[in-house]
Amino acid sequence: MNKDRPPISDEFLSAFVDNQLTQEEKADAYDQISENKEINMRICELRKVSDLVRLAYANPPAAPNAQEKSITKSPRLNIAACLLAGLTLVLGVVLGWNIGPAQENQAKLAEHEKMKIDHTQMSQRHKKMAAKMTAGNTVGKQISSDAAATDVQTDPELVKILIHLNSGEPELVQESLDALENVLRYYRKIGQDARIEMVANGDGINLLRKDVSPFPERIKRMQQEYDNLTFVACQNSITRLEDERGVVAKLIPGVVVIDSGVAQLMRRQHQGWAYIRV
Amino acid sequence: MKKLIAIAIMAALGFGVTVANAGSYGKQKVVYHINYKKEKRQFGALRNIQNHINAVGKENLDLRVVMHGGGYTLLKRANTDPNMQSKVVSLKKQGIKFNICANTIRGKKLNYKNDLYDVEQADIVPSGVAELAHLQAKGFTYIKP
Repeated sequence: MNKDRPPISDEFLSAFVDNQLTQEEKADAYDQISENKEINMRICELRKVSDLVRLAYANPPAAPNAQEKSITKSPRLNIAACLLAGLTLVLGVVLGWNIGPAQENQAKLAEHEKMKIDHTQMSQRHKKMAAKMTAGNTVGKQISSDAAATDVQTDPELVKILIHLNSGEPELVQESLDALENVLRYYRKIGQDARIEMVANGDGINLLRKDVSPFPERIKRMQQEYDNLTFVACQNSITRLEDERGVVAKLIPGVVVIDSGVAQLMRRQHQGWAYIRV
Repeated sequence: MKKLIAIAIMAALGFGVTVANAGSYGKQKVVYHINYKKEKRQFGALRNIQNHINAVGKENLDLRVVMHGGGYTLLKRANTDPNMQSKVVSLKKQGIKFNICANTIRGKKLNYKNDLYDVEQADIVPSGVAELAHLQAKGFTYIKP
């Protein structure tokens, strides 16, 4: 361990894994991680734990596509919903039988309810617009003109994307970085919260190797420019490189190592991340 | 009574068969991702899509093609290559939407009206990657042929 630095605590690493550090703390952590194999392993473990916790509490309310998936929630909830529906039906039949005119009131109530929902939806939209406008007048103007042209919709929740690179083909690698940077810029422009992970395995890890990467400076610049971007390298691929070709991979500072790239693809998709293979 | 049961069973079986025929896969929402320019691979992708339609039925399918990076060459080829063009036309007739990334059009300095086959403003998405993520969040299955 480095002597002039205090040892990294588990709390600090947890905060790092959960993306709760400030820019400086994160940069410092990145430095230490890239120098230190032991910390790297601890991060791997923590990520696994936090992923498992998230998996155990599947369908958290903050998941981006929770609305779509919520249909298949828990069986207990479904039973409750069925019971409720049944009860409502019986109640409705009984009420309809006994007091005909009440129907009219119910219809009015339903209409009122609907108006209320419409209203809250409207005010939510307004709040969002207001937030965007306060984010800066020029930005606000840009958004509105672009939105009119392309009919852009921001997702209400955090957008999470995993971009999978497993090729070292120069043109593809460059185009992948272009696409990555384009989407980061786009989300920043429209004010959409997003987390993006580029996971490299196989020949893809060459992009993240200090000595052979065709774009080391670009990677460093992108890391600094976008704190919501993480470059991830697969430990299995690094090990294979060493076993098969006797090459010890030195990674660009800030690159996070994960046990298995493929396992990471799986975990992330379970957690509701979009998957894109470049 | 026996007759009745037999009829009931036959009716049930018949019902089962018709359900299976009506599309054993049910409704599907799918997005195909094309970001490569190899002609053979692009033709392969279009063939996959046609097979997908044949299996699921066009009425059960909301299928989008999202192109960015080198993928734009598919629509460039369709301008000059009658074979590629007829494939695109045929798929569009079956309700397949071809979307292309605005960043790619800008980056490759394309004039979408002249350089690309049958692209309208509505076919252009602000970011190919964001579109792929957005569609997946809406329940589309991602396929990279």
